[in-house]
Amino acid sequence: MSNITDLSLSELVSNIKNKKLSSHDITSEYVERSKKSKNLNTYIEETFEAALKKAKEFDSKPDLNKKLPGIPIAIKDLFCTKNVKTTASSKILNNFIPTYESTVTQNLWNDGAILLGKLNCDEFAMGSSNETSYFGNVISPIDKDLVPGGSSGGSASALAAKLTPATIGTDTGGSIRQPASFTGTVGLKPTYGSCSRYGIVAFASSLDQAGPMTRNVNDAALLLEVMSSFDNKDSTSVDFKRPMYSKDLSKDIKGKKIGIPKEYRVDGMSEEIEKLWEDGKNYLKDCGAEIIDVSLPHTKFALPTYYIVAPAEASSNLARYDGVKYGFRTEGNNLIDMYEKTRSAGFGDEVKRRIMIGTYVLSSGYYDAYYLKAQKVRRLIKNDFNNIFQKVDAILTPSTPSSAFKIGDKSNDPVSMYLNDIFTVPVNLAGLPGISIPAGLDKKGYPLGLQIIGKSFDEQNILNIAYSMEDKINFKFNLKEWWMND
Amino acid sequence: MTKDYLIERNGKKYEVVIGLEVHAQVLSESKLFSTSPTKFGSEPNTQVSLVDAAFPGMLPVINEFCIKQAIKTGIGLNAKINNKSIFDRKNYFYADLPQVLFYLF
Repeated sequence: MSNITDLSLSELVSNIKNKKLSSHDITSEYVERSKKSKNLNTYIEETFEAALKKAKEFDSKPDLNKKLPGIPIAIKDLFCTKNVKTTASSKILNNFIPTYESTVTQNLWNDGAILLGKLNCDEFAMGSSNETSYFGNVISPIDKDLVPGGSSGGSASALAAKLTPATIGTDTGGSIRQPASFTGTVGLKPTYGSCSRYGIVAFASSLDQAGPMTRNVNDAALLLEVMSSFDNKDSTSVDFKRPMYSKDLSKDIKGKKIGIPKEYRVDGMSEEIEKLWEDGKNYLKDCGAEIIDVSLPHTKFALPTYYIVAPAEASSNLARYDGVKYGFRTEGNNLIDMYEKTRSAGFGDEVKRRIMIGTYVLSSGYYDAYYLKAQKVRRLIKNDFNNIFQKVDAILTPSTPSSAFKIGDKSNDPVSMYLNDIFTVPVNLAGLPGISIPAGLDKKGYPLGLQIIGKSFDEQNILNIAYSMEDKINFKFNLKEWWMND
Repeated sequence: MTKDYLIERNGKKYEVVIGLEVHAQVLSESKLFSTSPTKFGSEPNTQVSLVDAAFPGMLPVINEFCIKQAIKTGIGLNAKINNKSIFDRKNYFYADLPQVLFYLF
């Protein structure tokens, strides 16, 4: 039998249900492996002792009807976990211990999963490289000089390095799909309203969405089934009949119409990305799908729209961090002084940058020209998708404009950093589901991803398309475990 | 328009317009956006929930009873009831705003 840590999430679940493996067998392997992998800096908070204890408890009275029975899982440190430190990778929450649990993580524990620890990410989910965390950069297991992507960089790195069998992240502008693409893993952002936002540290309330990050599409379907639920504690949660995503997973996509949006062919797009996209089209044709050229005319406005709307919402959501009720506080001479000193010391540069942009675009005299205008453009972007979804069932695009870049390459140039999200942000603006699957390697041998975008609440369809493509692509990537120490 | 509503000063006529801004507290058991009680005269900090204190990840959920009361008030005043209403959020730092947030409805 291969190493326990080589097994997929679904394989682990089978092994537990067949009693071939115990929860303790699996959890102790992942704990050992995680302990030897500190060089990747993926964990902010380790809960290894508690995990091993819970594994033993599970084994003493196993409930094999659960969907994730006794499965250990590490999660992005943006989900509030009861009695376990939750920092959002920020100094301003570096000592915050919630007395409550997020709905999505509660769903995991209710279905038998066990918390391994909290994973590093960009501060308050703001970033595309995991270089803005107060707890230091996350290193990609692919190469010590590479970024894993962001903001769910710790999740992607831990997943690719097999420190956790699966993980969950959040995606506001691409923060699940881009790091998945960079690390050769699968990342799904569900439709806005599918997964509850209760208990997730809010960045941009109209864009944030939790989602699964896994080694393969089948695992993503299983994890989505557990995560997605109607929650009356989240007024944006939608009550729709959720399919059994993993049970209904199918490779039969004959006759499906797949749109190729011409505006995604950006100037200066590399040959490798072109070829990846072309190969993707051919795989889909092999599966019996029909390729149709489509147009999303307002695509070029998506990135600027996002970088007005998201910071605006962030400036509102992050206003609560003032040192009064919880978290880090710097003493001041009076209330305003305390607010100013606490926030100056507590927030990193990128967070401050976005709060200032957000405050500016909402301010009197600029509101109409920026925020209001951006909201109108957002509506046009959504309309573009609505129009083409009358002709096609899904859309195929590259996930990112390049493979993972080097640490430090873009950290001094915010705009070039923001350009990483060019293919992912339209999906968040339109509230649609999108999945990134590994589809090839570039000249340097680094992973590249393809993205499938679907209609609202049509995750089953994009999972099926991804599942078929995954089979054809047969992506193989051998990681040398250079980062391990004894 | 009778003469009483007009005031003349420096050769100009001014029309008196009086508006009343009425703040009427809804007699609900819970607050507008959280499940906290609203009992008058309680000790400080005994009716503050995680939502009221703006803890990370907390989300406001509107009190359905208050909506019903607002609709009834509108009907009682012979007003038009809109089927769709929108929230705006207004941000400013102030000691009485843990979330730095004010919902306008």
